[in-house]
Amino acid sequence: AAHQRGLLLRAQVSTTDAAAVAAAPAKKEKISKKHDEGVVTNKYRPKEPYVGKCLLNTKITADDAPGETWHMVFSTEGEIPYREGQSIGVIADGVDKNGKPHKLRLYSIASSALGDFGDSKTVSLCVKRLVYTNDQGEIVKGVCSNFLCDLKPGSDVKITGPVGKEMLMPKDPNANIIMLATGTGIAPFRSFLWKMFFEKYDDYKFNGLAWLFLGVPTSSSLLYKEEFDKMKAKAPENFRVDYAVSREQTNAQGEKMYIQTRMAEYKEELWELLKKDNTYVYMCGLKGMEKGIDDIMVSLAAKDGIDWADYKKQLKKGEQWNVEVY
Amino acid sequence: LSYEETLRLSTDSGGGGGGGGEFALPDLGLGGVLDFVAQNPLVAAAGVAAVALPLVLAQVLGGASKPYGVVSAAAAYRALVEEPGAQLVDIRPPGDARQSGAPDLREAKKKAAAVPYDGEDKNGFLKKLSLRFKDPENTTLVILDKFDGNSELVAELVTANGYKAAFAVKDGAEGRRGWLSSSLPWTAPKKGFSLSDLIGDGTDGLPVTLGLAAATGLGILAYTEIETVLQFLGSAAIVQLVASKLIYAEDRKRTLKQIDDFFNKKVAPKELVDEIKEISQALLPSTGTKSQPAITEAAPATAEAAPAAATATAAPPAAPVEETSTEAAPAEPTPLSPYTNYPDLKPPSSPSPLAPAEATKNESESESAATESAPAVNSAPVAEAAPEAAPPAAPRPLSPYPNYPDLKPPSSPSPSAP
Repeated sequence: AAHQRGLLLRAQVSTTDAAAVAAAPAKKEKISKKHDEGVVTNKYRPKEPYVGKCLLNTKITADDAPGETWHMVFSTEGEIPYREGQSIGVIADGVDKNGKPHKLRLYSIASSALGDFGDSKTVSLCVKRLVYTNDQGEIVKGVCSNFLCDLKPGSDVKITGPVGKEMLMPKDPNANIIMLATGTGIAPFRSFLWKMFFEKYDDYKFNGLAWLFLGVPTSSSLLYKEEFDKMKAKAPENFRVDYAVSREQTNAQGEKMYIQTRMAEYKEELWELLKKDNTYVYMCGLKGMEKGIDDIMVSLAAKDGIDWADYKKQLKKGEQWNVEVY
Repeated sequence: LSYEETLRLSTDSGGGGGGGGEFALPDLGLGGVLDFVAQNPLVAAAGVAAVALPLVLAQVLGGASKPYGVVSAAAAYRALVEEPGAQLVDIRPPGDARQSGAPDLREAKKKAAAVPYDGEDKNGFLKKLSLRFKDPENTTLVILDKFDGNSELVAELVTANGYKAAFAVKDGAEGRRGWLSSSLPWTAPKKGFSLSDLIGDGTDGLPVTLGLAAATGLGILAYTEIETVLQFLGSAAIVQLVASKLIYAEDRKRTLKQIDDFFNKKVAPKELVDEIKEISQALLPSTGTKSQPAITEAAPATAEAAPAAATATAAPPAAPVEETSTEAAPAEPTPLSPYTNYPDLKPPSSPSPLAPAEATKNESESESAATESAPAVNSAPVAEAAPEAAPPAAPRPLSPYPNYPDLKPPSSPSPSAP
């Protein structure tokens, strides 16, 4: 009966919300809970990309980390008016083996709308250099990621976008925001967190709970860890961060610590949060992670007699479950 | 249970819900609630308590037929605390707040927006308001006047201009049943010129902020305006302190006024002198003697070092570096190296460098565009990196800006219009 009450409470609250909205005149269309008014998409298209300059490109993983991840900043002169959670496209210089220009690749933006320099004139990315061995045993380098990781300050870079509305932040400054990231999937959340904890706005002061789960292979690749430490120090009441370092940590049963393993340690708390209608979950990273997270949610929901698939659908409809995987 | 009874239950369990019943009832569609209440009276008590406040607020804020009106100070305060979208606008003339103080919204974790309304320049007023509140459709304004002379008018004005709703505070700040007489939280007026106000929370990034100001061209303005202060105090620390406040246009006038007041009235000089000393001690070691001459003499010694560093690394943007250093020399505290946030003042070398032909192409291109990209590259001032470049053997940082005290480059605290 507990969950029924939870659901019923939610229904009640939304009734009052609806009443408040209905009372305000001339407000008919569905109102998004996300910060999406005036959001710009596809200002620059692949045919006529914006040409920005690389201002800075720095490796942010230790030398012994598996793979390299780079943080880079491009100038936009304010021409790419993106929001936290959006992505941009990048077209690598050069041509493919058929002599055609390279295809566009999308990257989640790692900086807040103000940019790393706070002047709304830059955009930052967090890119892992993709190197893998194919079926023939040849070493293959990802075209765009290697182009980006090799960029020198001063070089040009072709940018399209901004794109995407799925990962926009909630409007509610008192929301619970659960962020689930693996590897460079941290990008949109760095963007969120800078806005929440490193910047000041007259009309936005985050006072909810931001809870970040970050999964990485080794502690030498805990992207932006110092920044998150700083945020934690600044706003201990409003920010939680839990890391899952799969090759170095295990749970009590000796299983490797993946992001869902870490989340399982807080499952009761997470489930309670998920029952609130001001809780928003955002997920970004490798495709595989969604399955792993679904698995633990299924068992959590089942305890309350709820079918997770149905419940997730409901959350998605309410814009409370947001996924961007690649 | 009837509709009215449910409502009464809500207001009762809401702890004396503040006159919610006086309002015309909107059609809330409470069928679901009623059924539930009828079936589970015990559980409902808790449930109703949880929804009681929102319910009352919905009546206060959204229930009336017109989206503006008058509310008691207590109801207004509760709305500000409970409703994320509710904001207080203080329309009293600027002098009033200085004389009698201002509402204290710390419980609501909000700040009153002081936007004086003189009854004449309505458009100017709305414009100032729009700078403060970016999402009018979802913002309910609570209007506070000294009494309630203008507030209802303003409430009507703002709802006619796109705000979700607005409410005038009955009897305003100082009226018979107003904010003060209702014993709501209030901040007493500041005595003279408060230094802590100036310091704010920007202390960490002060030298850095100054660099940014200079880099973005605001520097010239800031410097001319604070020149007198500089002469007066002769302390680089204070210059940085004040500049951090001055570069933000909104604060500038007020700060200057405060400084003026301070020097004219000479309020509490001894205490202040002590505070200033403390600040100097806190700031000077980190910026060192290097940054001080850089400010007053416009970039001496470091001017040579940075190009040298750039050539040593043979990095492509050597050209932009030279260009900005000559161009911006008069006003800037000289961020001469674009890579001051790296421990060794150069970017880490990439594994596969560009082919020579491509590199030269890049260089000539970057020369033409150097001026536009240079400020951002250079926004890290030398003062910051110079003392911190020393410890070399630290483990590799996992964030891109390890050398800034805030782990982020100086950034303006409020968004600048693109």
